[in-house]
Amino acid sequence: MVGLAEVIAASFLAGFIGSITGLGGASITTPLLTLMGVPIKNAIAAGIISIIATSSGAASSYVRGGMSNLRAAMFLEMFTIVGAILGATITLFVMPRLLYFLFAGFLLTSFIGLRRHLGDELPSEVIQDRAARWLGLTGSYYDEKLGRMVSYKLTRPLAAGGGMFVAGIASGMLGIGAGAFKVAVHELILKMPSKVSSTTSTFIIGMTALAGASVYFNSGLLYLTLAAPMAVGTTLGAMAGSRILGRLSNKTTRIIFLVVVAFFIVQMLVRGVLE
Amino acid sequence: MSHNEKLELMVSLVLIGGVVLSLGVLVLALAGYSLRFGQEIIMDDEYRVAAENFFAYVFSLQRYSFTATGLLAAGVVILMLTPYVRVLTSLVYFASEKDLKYVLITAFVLAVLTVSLLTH
Repeated sequence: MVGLAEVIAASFLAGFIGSITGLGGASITTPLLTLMGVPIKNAIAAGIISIIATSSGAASSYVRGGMSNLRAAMFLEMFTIVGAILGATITLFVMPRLLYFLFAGFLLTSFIGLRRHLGDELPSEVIQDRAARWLGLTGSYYDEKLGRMVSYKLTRPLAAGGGMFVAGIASGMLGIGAGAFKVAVHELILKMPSKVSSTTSTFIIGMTALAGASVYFNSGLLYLTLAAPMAVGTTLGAMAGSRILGRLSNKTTRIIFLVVVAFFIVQMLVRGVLE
Repeated sequence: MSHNEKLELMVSLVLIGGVVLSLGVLVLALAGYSLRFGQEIIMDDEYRVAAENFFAYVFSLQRYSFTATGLLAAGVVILMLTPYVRVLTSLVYFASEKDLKYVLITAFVLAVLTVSLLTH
C-alpha cells in the first residue's frame, strides 16, 4: 500500500497543474493513486475533498486584483451545483462504460474549440448581450506578462449557464471538478481571457465539488487518512501554482491546458474500452 | 475602495483563513499520526467517515476531542466548510449593498447547497 509521502507528492503535482489550468486536479490524482494501489472509489471520494483544497488554496490569491470574475462565477454556480447533484444521482442508473465515452466526448469538444483560438492572446472586441449587461459582467485585471491592465466584457451568460449545467452533471457523475469543460465554456461562450477563465473555473470547482462531496459523506468510501495528505499536498501545490500563473502568457496557460486535456481524453477512452 | 474590491477582499480573507486553518490542523494531525504509525495509510473504521449527512458529522466531532483522528476530521470539515462560508459571506455582502439580483443568485446557491448537505 502507498505511503503518506507519496500521496502528498502526487497531490502537490495535481494542485500545481490544477491551479494553473483551472482543473481541480482530481483527474490527475485519481489515476495516479489507482496506479499506486488505492482502490478507485476511495481515490475518487478523497479526490473530491482535494478539489476543494485546490480551489480554495488557489482562489484565495486569484480573487484579489480581479483575476477571477466573482459575479460571473456566482451566476454560473447556480447552474453547476444543480447539475452536480443531478449528475451524482444519475450515476446510480447509468453504465460506467457510457460515462467514460461521454466524458471523452465532452473533453474533445472543448479541445477542438480552444485549439482554434490558440493564436489569440486576448479575445477581440466583444459586444455584450442584454443578459450580460443586466448582470454587470465586465472586469479588469493586471496582466503581469503583458505589463498592463486588461479590461474585458463578457457575453451570453445564459448559454454559458447551460454549459455549466452540463459541466455540473459530468462533475457529479465522474467525481471530478470538470474544470476542463468549464474553462472551454468560459472562453468559447462568455469570451473570457484565458487567465480569467482558468482562475474563475478554479473558484467555481470548489463549489461544484462540495455539492458532489455531500453525496460521498454517507457512502462509507471516504477515509480521513487518504483525504488529509491529499488535501495538504494539493493546497500547497495550488498555492505554489497560483504564484506563477500571473507571469505566464495566456497562450502558455492554454497550451499546458490542452496538453493535460489531451492526456485525459486518451485516459478516458482507455478506461471506457477496458471497463 | 470600489465595490468589487471590497467583495474580493472579503471572499479572499474567508478562503485564505479556511485554507490556512485547515492546513495547520491537518499538518498537526498528520504529524501526530505518523509519530504513531509512520508512513502507513491505515484504512479501517477508525478513519472512515460515516455519518447521516455532513452537518451530522460536524456535530459528531465533539466525541473525539484532541485525538489525531479528531484533528484529521476537523481539518477535512474546515476545508469543506470554506466554500460554504464563502457563499454565506457573499450573500451578506450583496445584502449590505442592496444588490437584489446577486442576493437572489447567492441565496439560491446557498439554499441548494444546504439542502444537499443535509439530505445526503
